[in-house]
Amino acid sequence: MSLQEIVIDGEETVDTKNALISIDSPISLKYVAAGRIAQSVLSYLVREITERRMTNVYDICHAGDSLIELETSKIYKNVDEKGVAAPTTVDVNNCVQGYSPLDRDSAYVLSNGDIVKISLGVHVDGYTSLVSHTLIALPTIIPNDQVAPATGVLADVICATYLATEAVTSLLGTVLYRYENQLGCYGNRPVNGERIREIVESVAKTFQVKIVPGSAVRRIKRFLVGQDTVHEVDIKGYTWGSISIEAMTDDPDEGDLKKMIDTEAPAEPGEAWLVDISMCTFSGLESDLNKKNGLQLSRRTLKPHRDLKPTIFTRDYNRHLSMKLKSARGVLIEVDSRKSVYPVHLSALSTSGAALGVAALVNAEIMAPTKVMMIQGSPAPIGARMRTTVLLMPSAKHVGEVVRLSGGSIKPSWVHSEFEVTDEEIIELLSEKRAGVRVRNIQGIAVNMVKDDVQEMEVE
Amino acid sequence: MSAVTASSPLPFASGSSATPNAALFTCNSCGVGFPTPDMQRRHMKTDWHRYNLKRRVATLPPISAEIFAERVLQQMDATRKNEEKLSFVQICRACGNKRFTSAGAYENHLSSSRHKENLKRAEQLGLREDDDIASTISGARDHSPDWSVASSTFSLGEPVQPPQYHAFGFRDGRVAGGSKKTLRRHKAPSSVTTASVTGDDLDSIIDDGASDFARPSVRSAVSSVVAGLDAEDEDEDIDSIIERKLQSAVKLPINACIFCSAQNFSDIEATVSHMQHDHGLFVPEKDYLVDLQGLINYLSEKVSIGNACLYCSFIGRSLNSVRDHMIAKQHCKISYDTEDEQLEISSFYDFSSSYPDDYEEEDDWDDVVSEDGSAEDDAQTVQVANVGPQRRTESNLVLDPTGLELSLPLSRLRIGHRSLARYYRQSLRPTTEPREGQGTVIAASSRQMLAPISRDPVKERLTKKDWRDQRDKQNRDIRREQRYVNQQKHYRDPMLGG
Repeated sequence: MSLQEIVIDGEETVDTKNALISIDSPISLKYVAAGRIAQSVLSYLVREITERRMTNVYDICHAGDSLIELETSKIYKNVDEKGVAAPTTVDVNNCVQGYSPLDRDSAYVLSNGDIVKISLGVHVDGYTSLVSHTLIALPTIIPNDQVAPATGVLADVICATYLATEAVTSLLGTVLYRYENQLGCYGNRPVNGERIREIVESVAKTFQVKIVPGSAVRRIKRFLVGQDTVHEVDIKGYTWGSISIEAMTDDPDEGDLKKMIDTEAPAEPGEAWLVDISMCTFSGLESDLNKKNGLQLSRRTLKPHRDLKPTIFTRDYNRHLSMKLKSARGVLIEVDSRKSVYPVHLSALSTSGAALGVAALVNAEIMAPTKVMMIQGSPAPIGARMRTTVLLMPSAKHVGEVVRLSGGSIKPSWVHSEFEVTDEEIIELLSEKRAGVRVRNIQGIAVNMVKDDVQEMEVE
Repeated sequence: MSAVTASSPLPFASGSSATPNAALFTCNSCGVGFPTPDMQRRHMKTDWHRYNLKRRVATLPPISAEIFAERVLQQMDATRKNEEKLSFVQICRACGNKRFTSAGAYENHLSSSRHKENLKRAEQLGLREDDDIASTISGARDHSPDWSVASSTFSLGEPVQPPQYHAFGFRDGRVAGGSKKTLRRHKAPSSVTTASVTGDDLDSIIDDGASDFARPSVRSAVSSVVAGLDAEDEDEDIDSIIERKLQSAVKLPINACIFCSAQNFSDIEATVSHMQHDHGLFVPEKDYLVDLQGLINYLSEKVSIGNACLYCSFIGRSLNSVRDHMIAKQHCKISYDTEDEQLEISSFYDFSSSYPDDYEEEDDWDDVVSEDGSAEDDAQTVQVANVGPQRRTESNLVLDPTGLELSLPLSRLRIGHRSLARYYRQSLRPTTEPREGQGTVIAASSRQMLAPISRDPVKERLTKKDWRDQRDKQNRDIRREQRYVNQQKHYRDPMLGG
């Protein structure tokens, strides 16, 4: 098959397999199924943490991954590719991505007051729902009476992240609403990457926090949700730099990132969007910020952790090299045949000597590691992350609605920030009415670990 | 092809001898002219015109409308005859409802000793040979689409004039050698348009040849040797030739060796073992051979009456010449490589036991019936049993588009044809198709690579200027150095360094 053919095929499949027509269409149902599992597992993990049943990060990650596998195996039996789209990671405090330990003994144990970011992802047949949630670890069980809400910079950063995510979700939803009235776009301006950037940066400015590189509000497609190894072009939306792609500059208006992101293209009904916003407190030098807007951390401030080795790897399908090492070949075969194009956790590989094989593959650049990234600075900055996947679902009968696959309806931790949003437009987006946008949150279902798994964990 | 002349416009000037008038609208491939462009256009759509076009491609002269019409009628005649021949089905009840699809094979069977034995036994049981035993079913045979296509076309290589002679030779594509020899023997006219046929026509000829070979008998063995290429061969002539052949032929008895003069073996097994050990005759697929006598009979008739070599297309003048040929060339073997050759002797074989469904039919029947839970009366169960294995085959086995590989999708096992054994033995890396996710990702990524590099003409000019400047500077430096080379006082070996 020549390259040209692949491209033609790809374009055809992408177009027909990404159009959301109605909530009952097969594609939407797969999205919803993935979202429901993601939401269920996330709420299960949040409950376990707040009720102090799980404090070891290994337990949380392991439970998350095995629950996703378990739940996806129950649905869409005829679909081959489904399961974990992003291994569960628990990033604490100034860690921003990639912490999912391999063994229980050396894993981090949550302590009181830690700010915990749980991230996970589920996909069914490539239709992906990614979700992240931030909470303050081990909160008191009755917050109203005995303990005051968290305040200070901690509260600021959580508030800013949460509000920015909600505002952007509403903003995306206005596409549907205004679409019906033929007014063009909300506030007489198209809803595009530039508009989203303004809103998020305005919130960050108000709460005096900085945006962490790697934040993105972008359109997602089947199998294409911004994996490190996939260099897409003309992504709709906006990306605040990248954590993993080293060659990229911080400034999204220059270099490779500019080629990839189309900030002018407006969002349209029938698309799926990922809202992934992480922010952090900052008390460092001006030079550590992006010169252009002063609201975004420079990539230099992010460093991989000295001791923690990466445990999550993504296959780069554009590289082909025959490996000498037997375990490397084994891993490659396993990833190609059983896993998908999404990141894979090392413990999910059954090949013997997988770690060695993966190391060889990383050297050959066939797999890309997701490094455990920390924000440098003293005092150590604290990051918060909110991530949600939304479908801009048109409707034949009435105004369409935003289907929020995951990340809705889970209450954020109780915080109180001294700052307030002042921008009229953002206030309208965040109000009860959400600027007239209907949002439907996909609710989670009760999930539980299989008994065998629990026993295994106890034995360990 | 329907009656063409009726729909075609009448040509004003017919044949190549007529010089088309300059005012006329002419058709160069048919050599005709028309007074109006409309008529010419209509002519272009006729079958006659198309046929002449094909002839032109084959560098043959055009034929006139009358000859074309005649030929169409002849072809239709031949088709009808062929159909009648193909729809012949005889069932011999005495020998366990054995089916025969050609008259020759049936006659051959009637004369075989096994049939006579069976007949005797049947008579003892109270049956009598009458219409009940041998009943003719007509039209039971299916016509494959290939066959019908083949019958509706005829060869391009026919002579322009209605034929008055026959070209002899095999009909299965090995035309050249055989036809030359026979021509010389029969003193046929020297100018025979050799068939330079293409595409469908060649296929059709090969098909015809195969269908002839598929039902061998005394008659077809001879006719396959004698029958000409042309479709217009009159049956009487063939018959007379066959008669002549049969009269002059030396009939070999069944207990005589085909290849040498050894005779009077005790039985047919001894004959075969002699031929196997002394001449190297290998009888293929012995496990499925059901009619050894018929096979040997057919082979010996092919050699003795047809004087044809068993392995190649050689036709000897006499029995001795063909025997000499076969021994000298080590052709004492049955050609069994191509499908046509296998079909030639297939009527002596019964491969039905090699079909997996055949011997599991009992089980299938049980399974299907128990699944359905009903089907108590006989008619229904028979129907179910017939449907069962097919359905199972369709659901479980997947045939490769090339037809050489069966695969079981659930266990991912593959069964390959043995002709490809050497490739399977190499244990090549399986070429798996990329899964959907991989395909999508590769497509999305490679788009960036394929994006055209934007070329700024100004930038390009500047780059070229840079290159030129650099080159000029280098040249200037070299020239300057050369100028000072002769001014140095003492010689210095450049190898030792300046």
